[in-house]
Amino acid sequence: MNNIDSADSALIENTINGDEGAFAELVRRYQSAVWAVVHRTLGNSLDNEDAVQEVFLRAFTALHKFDLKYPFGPWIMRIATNYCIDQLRRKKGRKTQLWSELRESDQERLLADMSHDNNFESGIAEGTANYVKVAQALLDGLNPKYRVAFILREVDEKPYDEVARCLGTSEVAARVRVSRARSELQRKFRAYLSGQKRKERKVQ
Amino acid sequence: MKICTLFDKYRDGEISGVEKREFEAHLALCSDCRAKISLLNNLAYILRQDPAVMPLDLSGQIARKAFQQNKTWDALVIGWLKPGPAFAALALVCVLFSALWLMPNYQPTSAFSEYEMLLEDASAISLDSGIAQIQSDTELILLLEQKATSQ
Repeated sequence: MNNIDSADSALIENTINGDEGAFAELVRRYQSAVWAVVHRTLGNSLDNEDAVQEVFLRAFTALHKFDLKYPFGPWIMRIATNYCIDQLRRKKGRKTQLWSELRESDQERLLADMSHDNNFESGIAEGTANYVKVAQALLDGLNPKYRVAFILREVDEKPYDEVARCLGTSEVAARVRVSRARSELQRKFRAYLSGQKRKERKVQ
Repeated sequence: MKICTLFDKYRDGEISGVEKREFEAHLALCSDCRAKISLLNNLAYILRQDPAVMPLDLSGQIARKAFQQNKTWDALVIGWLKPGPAFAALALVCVLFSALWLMPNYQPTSAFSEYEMLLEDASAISLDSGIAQIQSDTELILLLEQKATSQ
């Protein structure tokens, strides 16, 4: 994604000259990457298709300003991450209400599994959806900028220079965001665990 | 603990040799760092299990919508209007208006000012010209027009 793709440049020029097919091809090349960012950042939602569409429409509107000296991939990823950060800020008030959907015993088991590194990979097969909900609930508590940085680095395993390009920041700033996301996640996870323990004590 | 500050470098695989061995020895003792690594490993693993595969190809639909949107005038204006030229145009309009306003012989004409001029003409007409019998503005205007044509 770091190198300039001459086919991308030709598609961009043809799109600017009014070739709808060229833009469709450009979308076809990058829609999976944009979808992955949207899906992992905003969670599994019916709105993800609209989000992908909106990202490409924003890119289309700004395409005449795009400098062909640079690769298209990081540019479209930056539009996608900015869009996701905007969406996360908007829905900040309505975070995932995970715990009310699960039984106490399930909550306890999920949290215990999340805090240990033993045999986790074999244990997840039985209830992936619930673990994903726990993970999303933890991520929901993060500042949107930290959340996107965390996804790009920890989940997508992108190198820091690429994370920085996607976020439109310096590499140092990208490192700071990832580091803060890690610490914040641990703090929130501890808070969930201590909340859980308080509930258990009340029951006893 | 000071060595905890190496956590991110360790996590990103950016330390080696003595530093790495020191941090691993620290991990054996520090439950906080150990728990953090476990949590991050688990979170990343879980999120990678959630398939981020596109259910359908959206390329044709998106391209069609983009070009339809581009054909509307408002989209063209929003898409191509740049702040610099827009401000320059606004400034030019302001300069033209103020220059017009400051011109020495400039007098704005309006229906009201024309009416005032007619009244001034009326006051200049002597009373014996029959103006005393005038009942309405229309009659006054007709009279003044007659006067103007006779002069």
